[in-house]
Order: sequence, then structure tokens, then C-alpha cells
Amino acid sequence: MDNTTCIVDIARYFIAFCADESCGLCAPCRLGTVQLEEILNRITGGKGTLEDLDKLESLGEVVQQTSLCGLGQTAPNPVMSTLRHFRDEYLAHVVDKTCPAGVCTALLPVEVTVGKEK
Amino acid sequence: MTVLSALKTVNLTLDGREIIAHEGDTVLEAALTAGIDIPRLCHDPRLKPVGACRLCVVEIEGERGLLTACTMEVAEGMVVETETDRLAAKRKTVLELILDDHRVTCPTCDKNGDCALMDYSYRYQADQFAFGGYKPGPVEPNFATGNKAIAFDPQLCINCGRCVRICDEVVMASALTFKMRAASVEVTTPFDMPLNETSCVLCGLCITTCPTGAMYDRAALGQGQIKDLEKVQTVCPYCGVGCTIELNVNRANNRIVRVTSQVGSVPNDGNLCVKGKFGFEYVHSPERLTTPLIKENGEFREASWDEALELAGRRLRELRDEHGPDSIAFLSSCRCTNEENYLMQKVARTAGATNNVDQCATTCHAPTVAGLAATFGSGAMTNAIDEIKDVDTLFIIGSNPTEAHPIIGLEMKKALKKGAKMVVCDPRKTWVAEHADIHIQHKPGTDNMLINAMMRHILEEELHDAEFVEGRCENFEAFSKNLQDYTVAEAAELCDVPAELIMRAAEMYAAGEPSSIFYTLGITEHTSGTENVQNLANLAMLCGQIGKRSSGVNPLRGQNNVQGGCDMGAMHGDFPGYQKVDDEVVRFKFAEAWGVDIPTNKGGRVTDFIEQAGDGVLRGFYVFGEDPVLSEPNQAKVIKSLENLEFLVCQEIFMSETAKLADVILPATSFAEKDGTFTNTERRVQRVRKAVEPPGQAKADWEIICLMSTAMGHPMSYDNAGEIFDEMASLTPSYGGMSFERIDEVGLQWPCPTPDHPGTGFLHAGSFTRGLGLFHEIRFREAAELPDDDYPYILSTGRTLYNYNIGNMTQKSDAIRQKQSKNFVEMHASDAERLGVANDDLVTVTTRRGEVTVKAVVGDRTRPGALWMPFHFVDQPTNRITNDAFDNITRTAEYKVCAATVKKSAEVPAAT
Amino acid sequence: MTAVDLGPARAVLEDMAPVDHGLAIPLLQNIQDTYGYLPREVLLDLSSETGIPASHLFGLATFYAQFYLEEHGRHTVRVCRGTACHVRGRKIIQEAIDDELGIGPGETTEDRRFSLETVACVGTCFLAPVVMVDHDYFGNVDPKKVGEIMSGYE
Repeated sequence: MDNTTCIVDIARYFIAFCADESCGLCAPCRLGTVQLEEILNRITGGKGTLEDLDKLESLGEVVQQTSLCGLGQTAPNPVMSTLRHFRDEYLAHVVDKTCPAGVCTALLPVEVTVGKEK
Repeated sequence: MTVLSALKTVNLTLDGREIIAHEGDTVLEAALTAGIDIPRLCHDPRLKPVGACRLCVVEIEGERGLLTACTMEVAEGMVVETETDRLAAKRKTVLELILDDHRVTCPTCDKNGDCALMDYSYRYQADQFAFGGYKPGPVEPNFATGNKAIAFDPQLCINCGRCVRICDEVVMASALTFKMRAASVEVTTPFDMPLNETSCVLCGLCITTCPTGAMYDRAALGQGQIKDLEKVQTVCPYCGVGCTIELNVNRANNRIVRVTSQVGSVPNDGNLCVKGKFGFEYVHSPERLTTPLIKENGEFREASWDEALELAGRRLRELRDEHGPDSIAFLSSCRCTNEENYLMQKVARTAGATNNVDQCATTCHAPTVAGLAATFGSGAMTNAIDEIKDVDTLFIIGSNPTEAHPIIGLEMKKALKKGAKMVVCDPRKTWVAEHADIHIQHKPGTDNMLINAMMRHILEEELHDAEFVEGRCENFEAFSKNLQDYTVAEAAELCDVPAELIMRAAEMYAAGEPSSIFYTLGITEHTSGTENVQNLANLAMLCGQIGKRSSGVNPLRGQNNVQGGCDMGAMHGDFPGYQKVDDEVVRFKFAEAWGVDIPTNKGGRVTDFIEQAGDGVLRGFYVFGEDPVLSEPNQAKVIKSLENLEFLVCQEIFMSETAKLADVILPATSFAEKDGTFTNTERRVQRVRKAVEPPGQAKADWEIICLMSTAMGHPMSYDNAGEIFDEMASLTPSYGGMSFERIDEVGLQWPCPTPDHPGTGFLHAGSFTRGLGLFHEIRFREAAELPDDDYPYILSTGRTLYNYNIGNMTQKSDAIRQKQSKNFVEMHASDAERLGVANDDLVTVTTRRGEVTVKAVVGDRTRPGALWMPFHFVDQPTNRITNDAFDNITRTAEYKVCAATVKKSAEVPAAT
Repeated sequence: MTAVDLGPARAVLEDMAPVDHGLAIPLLQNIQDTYGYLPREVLLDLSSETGIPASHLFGLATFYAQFYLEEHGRHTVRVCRGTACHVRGRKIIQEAIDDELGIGPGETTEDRRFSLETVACVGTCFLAPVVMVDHDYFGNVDPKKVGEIMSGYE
């Protein structure tokens, strides 16, 4: 991973994986990982807001603290740690509506997208 | 087996309060007992906790993270906080997640008033739009679509898993599962099959445990929100288990909307079966009788009560005056209350001046009453239902509990889960037979040979309880000498069972710690019924497996109040409490109380009445809540006999087959429309409460009986059912300490002789009711009609799970009819092959009495050479072909054995 | 539709006997190896032979992605969507395969030649992006070479 990797997209990728692998027994993991994924979809889709970042944090914490097993308890980790350590990238997505790494297609200016498609 | 007081106590602190719990309790259980309502959605006291909803998380000092109270066991010195701001915030979010996956529809939801999700959402002010709000997709068909009993709305389902678990753990039917995983999980059946095609037994426990409205009674939809319905606690009107139920009534239209039951209720712990849960439609059936009817020129016309009562009362009285006390008879109803049965035998003996009174016990368990009375001195189930789960070895003979007494079946399943062993003696492969350690599939009608051989083996191997036999019984010498004539080898031959199994079964029973015998009509409905019962008593006494907790001889009584019918003395030789009519002291007591001379004629039983009607000896018959045309054997003869009567009056809720022959019909009430009591099979007397008004001019049965008595010349009236009960209790020592107040909540088990007596759990502790238990020498006798060249099959009859007896109540239920609405015959695959019969083909079953044409159910449930039919259907009625041969002591018919033949029918099955 | 032959399933049962609840997953795996998927009739028959409730077998079969309840393609194409493959352009590989076979993940071609699925990780990250066909691994896959890979399988 380097500066051509979007850390928000990576967070979305991991939470999507956990949401898919969730066994479905306990409510926080089964439902919470999906909500985290949807919020991240919105953010990478250009529709994210600052409130969404707060939501990611508070919901992530609930899922970590109330899930029945290790999967749910650690699923939000990539989201939480990337929020903590790469907050600028998140802010770029929700405030500036840009994707610094150039990965999130919904947030790319038209001419850059054409070049990327090759 | 642990008793509560023997468990170690554990001290812990909950929310700052010092609490004393017991070893093995969970934090949740300790909290609930202390009145702390920790929120929970996936918990049900009947189920193993799973910690799925995560709402019950609590803070425990010294523990990392939050733990679920439902799974955490208490420990000495534990300090727990159940309600902090932090916990509230977490719970609020979890609830918001759940609400975002749930179609929030409270204003139009039937569950409103009993919805845990709604209650907790309110408590924690969860916002249903916190995550955007649930957007319902299109409604797709699911496994319950089209099912008339159970319905499922996946948009309301919160995936708590309780329905799946209760079906697995409590019912052990395992019809439901989760398919898929993660957020795609959905409750369904295997391959999404329609529910009625799965192992589902329609018990509706999935509905009772569902915390939201996802699983619901199809018939209740839109009939009233739970918060607006009135719940009336009463007793189920079907079998002898006597489950406590709540009729949910919509007062606006006087209708019962659904049946529920509270967890913790006695004796069923909130559990019900298909009949109790879905079989109440008959109460509101448009076929209910609503006015008195008088037959004129072969047709019925409506009449006033005065006219009908005057005619009926006068005719019965005239017949008795002219032809004596043996010319009229009274048939009481074991579906009806104790008060009504008490009054019926009182009317017979006062206004009727005859001892000709009987009820349906003769049809089924009279051999129990007579047999156990002779051996132990008391003819009732010796143990209580809640002792069943602690039985170590279940010995089940002539009984199919998971179908005929489903809730007792559930208690046995609890025992099995605790590791109990099980011996089942049944010619058919029932559920219990298939799950038994030993299944003895003996030939029908060979029980005494089997039991004698077992006892011989037990004696020979010295596995009996010599001390018990010596100290608590008598007549052992003659009894054991009799057994010398019976060998295991001979029994193996005659019963067609491997000798090895007989010996192992005997050994298993003798060694149980403890063992308990359970039997039903497979033992009593034989020409040797009473002797069969006495032999089981012998077996129990021989091994000392009686007179202690979870150990004894347990007849599972059939009807909701057959125990009561017998207890109330609706029998020719007994007064209430089995006080004998020919006992002068007793006669004097009743004569004083009732102000009449007690009649002295011998009197007979219902099977005698039918024969005497045919002979012209019996001329007048008052039939109350019974349908002998459908329930007695050899239907053609029954009809002919009843047609020969000079006067027949029927007190009924429907135009039964017997009522069609009547001269006067009096419209009566169902259990839901009157007050009174029923006594269940474990001798528990419970309150029956009026929930709805009867239709039309129908009156409560006890009121009608009083009016009939008056019309017959003996004025009788009571203000209410409680008065009748009190009068009865004052004359009946075993009921002496009971009253409506005392039995109000959970009832009381007799004997309960004084107002401060707590009732009696198990009988014969220390000594038998008659003092010493009496061994009987039982000789094996063949059944009355054995197979021969013309009729080479043995036909037995019995009950199924879905319908009850003659089906007049259950067949009025759409849900039940959808599952089972036509008669059928079970036959073995090898016989079917030989006859060219395939499953579902129509076959004609013929006996010397007649023939019926029904669907064949081909499999390996029955033995080769044996046929089995239920008797629930008025169309192609099974009792047209059964044998009117009777037990030598109680005149109970041999429904379990007659000779039949079967062949493929020329008829083409009608499209269903 | 022809009825499924229960013979092979009964043979599997005999081999594995005694089969109780604890062996449910290995049983399903062996059955799938035998039939290529888990036929409904076979599962229902297994249930009545072993006493394992049909609901449990169905629950297991739908829980795990490795089990198929419908007839499957002769060859299974698995596109890895693990972390390494994800960042190394697996999306483009995915689209190329979708175009080549004309089916999406979870589907089977009309002629039952291929079934396509995406999997979370095959553990050969040093070869990312990875595509598996049956038990064969293809590493460093070039989207333009997808057709070539597929043509090697009848």
C-alpha cells in the first residue's frame, strides 16, 4: 500500500469483508458492520458528512464493546484506527469531496478519471 | 436429583443491593428474581441462553469489557452494575440497529401491548431513524405463507433465534433454522418448504416465544392489539394434562382472538400443543346450537326452554315411575366441569332415583380406576407432572405421549435431555419408540404375557426390591407362584419380541433410580384392561418403584376432566371421592345432605346402557356432552340401540351424531362460556373461567342440569358454580380442603382434606391408600377377536396429535383441518406391497361389523399384519368397525384389538 | 427432471458410519464431492437416515459459501478478493472474467462449463492478483489473458 491506495477505501474494504463473514448471531456485529459499511460507502461515494465521522466512531465503539466474539469485537478496528491516524484523508472525502489517492471514482474530476482507466 | 434447598448459595451485589442467589444461577436469573428487569430480547427461561441480542450486557467489577448477564454465572462476591449511563448508551445503539432492520409499525401491530422491542425502545428512547430507517422491500412468500395456523413476517423478525431454539430444544421437532449468514440470515424451514410438510407439529411455541410480532397466529391478525384484549386464565378443554391457558378476548365483539400461556404456568410452563393453541375456533362456530329443539314428525323444530325442559323432565320421570330405576340412565360428560359432573350424579340419584349414571371413563380409563383402586386403594396418577423430568428410567407402555399428551411428552423430553433411559412397549413405532433405548414392538393384546415374563425374569435374577415387597405389600406368595407359569421364552414367542429385549427391558426398569411407569389406553382398552393395569401395579410394587418422588404408576388420563368425572362419582357404584354407594354410612351421609333416599339399584355403565337400550330395558336416556354413536364400538349396533329408546334427551353444543337421534336437544356451553373446575391427570383441580357469552339461548350446563332436575320433580338451584363446588367439597374428603379461593392461581392436587392442607404431589409415600399394596395373580388371556383366515389383520385404533377424539371440536378449526381432515389407515409396507397398495391409495378396511374406505398411509410404523386407525372423523367413522367386546370388570371396549381385512378400493380418491 | 440417485449418498454414509451430528460438515463435504453439489433429495434422505434434522443440514449448507445447493458448473473459477489482490487490481480482472464468461459471481454458465465466485483470500498474496480454476492457481493475472486461461478448461 502506498499513496495510490485510498485509506478510506481500505477501511471500507475491510469492514465489507467482516460484514460478509459475520455469522449473524449477535445484533451489534450482524447489523453494526453493515451500517459501518454503508456509511463508508456513502463517504467513498461522495455523499459523506462530518456527522458520519462521529457516527463511525460511536457505532464502531458499540460494535467493539458489545459483540459476542472476536470477529465483531475487531471488525471496526481498521475503521477506528484509520480514522485516528489518517483523519485528513477522511476529511478530504467528506469536506472537500476529494479522494487524495485518486481511487474513489465518485470523487475524481473528469479528466483524471479518463487517464486512470488505462 | 438436586432440590433447590440443597444448592449452595452465592452472595453477590447487584446495583448496590446484597443478593443471595444459588450456584448455577446466571446473573440475569438472580437479577430477575430480585426484581431487576435487565433488558433482553433473545432470552426465554425455557431455553439455553445464547447472548445473541447483547442487550443484557452488564458491568462486572474486575472484568474486562461488558458481559451478558444471561450467560454469566454468579460467583461469590461478584459486584454487578446493571443500569449505568454507559450501558444505557450501548443498549440504545443496539436497539437502534435492530429498529433499522425492523418494519416499525406499532400503531397497526397486533403485538402492541406485549412487544419487548417496543418496550425497550421506549425505555432507552431508541430512535428508529438513527441509521436512516427501515425501508421495507416487496413482500415475498415464505415457508408459512398459506399456513392457517402459523404466520411469519420477516420484516418484523429481529433474528433473536428464539423460535429456532424452542423448536430444537423444547419441542425437539427442529422444523426451523436460520439460512444464510451475516445480515442475510433469515428464519425458515429446510429448503423453505411449506411448514405443514416439515417436522413441525404446529404447537405454536415459536409464536409464544417470539418477542415481536414476526411469528403470529394467522387467525388473530387484525383482531385486536394485545393491549386491548382481555386475558382470561382458564384450563385447556382438550386432554388430561390440563394446561393453563389465557383466552385473549376482544370484548368489542365477544370473541376469543387467540390462546396464549405464560411461562411458569402450571403444569405446562407456557407450552401448548396444536389443539390447545389453535383448536378454539369451535367456540364461535356458526354450527353451535343456539335454541332448544324438539323433534316432531322426524324433524327438529325450535322450542322455548320451558317447553323443552317440561317435556324432557316429564318423560324421564314418567318412564322411571312406570318402569323402575333401571329404565332411565344419565350419561355425564368428562369434557365438562366437576360441578356439572357432581350435579349429574346428584340428579340421577335424586330426581332420577337411580344409580344409572356413567361417563366416558368407561370408554377409556375405567380399568385404571378399578385396577389401581384394587391394588393401591386409589385409582389415579401417582406422581405429579413436574416430577417427570427427574425420572431416571421412563417405562412407557401402551402410550404415545408426544401425540396424545404432548406437554407430558415435553416433560419426558426434558428427562431425556438430562440423560434418562427409556423403555417403550408399543406395537407401533411412535416418536418415543424411535428414541427409546429399548423398543418392544409386541403384538397387540399380549401385554400381560410380556409383563408376567418381565416380572418372572426380575424375580429370577433377584432384581426385585425384597424389602419393599416384604414390608409394604401382601399376597406376594400367590403372585410369585402364578409367575412360575410364565417364561421369557414363551413371551418372546407369543408377543413376537426377541427374548433378549424382554430381559433387558425388565432389568432396565428394575434398576432405575428411579423408574416410573406411564401408560394410557394401549393398556386399558382391552377385554383384559383392568388386569393389565393391575399387572403394571404388580411390576411397580415388585421393584419398589412407587411411593416416592418421580416414581410410580402413571395413567395419562385422556379427557380434560375425566379424572374429575370419576372423582365426582358419576359412576353407578361410587359417590364423589370414590365413596361406595353400597356403604351404609356413606349412603346415610348423602341421604342427609341431599334430603332423599339413595337409590339401591345396581346401575350400569354406558356400554350396558347401550345394550339395555337395544333390549328395551333402558327406555329413557339423558346424554350430556357425549356422542356414543361416534365413540362407542360397533356403530351400527349403537345406532339401532339408541333408536329403540322411548326418549332421548341430549345436552350439546353441536348437532352431534347422537343428538340427531334425540327427542329433545338442549343447547349448552363450551368451557369458555362458564365457570367451574377441571381436574387434570395429576389430580390437580384448576379453575375454569367464563371468558365469553354463550351464543343465542345456550345456557351453562350446570344451570341446565338444575333446571332438568327441577323439571323432573326435584327442585335444584345454585347461584353460581362456586356454591356447587363448596357443597361437593363438604361431602368429599379428598376435596375437602379446597375452594375456589384456594385453587385460584395454580390449583391443588388431591388428596387435600383440610383448608390448610397444601395438596399432595406424589401418592403412597410410606404406605398405600389401602395400607399394604395388593399383588394380583394375573393370568394372560387372549383378546376377544383374533385374526383368522377371513380377517387376517389386527386392527387397533387410537389418537393423533392434531385431532381430538371424535373431532367435533378440532375439526371446526381451519388450521387443524388444513393439516389433517380425513380418516386414514396405517399399514406396513410389506403388506401394502403384497396387496398392491401405494401410499395415499384408497383402501377398504372390513371387519365383522362393517367397512370403511380410507386413505392408506404406508410405512413401517405398524407391525406387519397390523393396521392402525384414528377415530377422529365422522366421515368413514372408525367405530363403525370396532368390536363391542368388553373388559370383564369395567365394560371398557377392546378398541385395541379386533380382526380385520383390507383391500385396495375401487373408488378413486376425491381431489382435495 | 430426473430423480437423484441416492445410492452414492448411502455409500458415503456407510463409509463414514456411525454418523452423528458432530460429523455433519464432513458428511456434507463428502456428499458434495460425490454429486458436485448438495441435492435436496439427498439431504432429506440423509436426515432420515442419520437422525440429523433436515433443518440443521440446510442451515449448514446455506451458511458456508463452499456448499452449493444447485447444480454447479464443471469448473469453478474463484477470483481472490483478499487485501493484496484487492489493491493489485482484482476489480479489473473480475470485470474481464465477467465479460469473458458472460456470468457474474455466484452464477453458472448456460452450458454448465463454469461457475464463478469471488473468495476472500487464497493465501498466495505474493502472486496477487490471483485467480483459481478448480485446484489450479494463476498468479499475476493479466486481464487480457483471461480468455486464454479459460480456454484450457472443458
